[in-house]
Amino acid sequence: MVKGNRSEDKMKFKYHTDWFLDENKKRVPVRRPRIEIILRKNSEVKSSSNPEFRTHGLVDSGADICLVPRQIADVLQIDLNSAQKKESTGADGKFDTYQTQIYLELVYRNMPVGIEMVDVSIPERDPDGIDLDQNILLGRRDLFKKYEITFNEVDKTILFKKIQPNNR
Amino acid sequence: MSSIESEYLMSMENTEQYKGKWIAILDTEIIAEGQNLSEVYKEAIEKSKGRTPLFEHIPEKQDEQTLIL
Repeated sequence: MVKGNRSEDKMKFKYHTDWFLDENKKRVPVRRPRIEIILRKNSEVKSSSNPEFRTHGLVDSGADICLVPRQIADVLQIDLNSAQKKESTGADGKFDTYQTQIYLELVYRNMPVGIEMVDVSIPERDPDGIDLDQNILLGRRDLFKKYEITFNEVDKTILFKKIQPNNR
Repeated sequence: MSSIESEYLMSMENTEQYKGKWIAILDTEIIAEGQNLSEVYKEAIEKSKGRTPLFEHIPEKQDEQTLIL
């Protein structure tokens, strides 16, 4: 990936393709609005005390804020001792989370696009048996305030259009 | 256009051998794998020489599922 950071007014992402087995045990592609992201503890450049984590996150208009699995928070060396503890509600019910902030970048055309610090929920512990790849949620707070986001289920694309400050 | 690592991940139709594991991809190579993310991260960063690999958790269940969050 090319180093550097930039700002983009408009970004169109293709849905990410995962492969699963259908009922006939044949591999079939499943496309979802998962986009490549980079997470860091803070906005400073990556270092041994500010490591970065590149992965995919599911853009989720139904989630109030971003959700990051505990395992990833630990790799990022997020200090949860000073974070506020709160009860959150998911599809599987209520669970305890820490509320803190993480620096988020989107990877668009192989270049990072800075979103700045975003509020995140981090589960006190990752639930057993959960598929963690489906558990990085990019929720509305922060991200959806900066971009008008349109899902196109026909084209399997997601469009991010920057909201100008005077329109916020 | 996605990163080369993301394109490689999407080309991996059969991920059976990695199910339930974290993998780290750099260019078109899986440079680390395992169930413990901290260990996979450490090994991958050591092998990446300053670059940042792509990390992905491969689902334990390989059957197609409807995602409701």
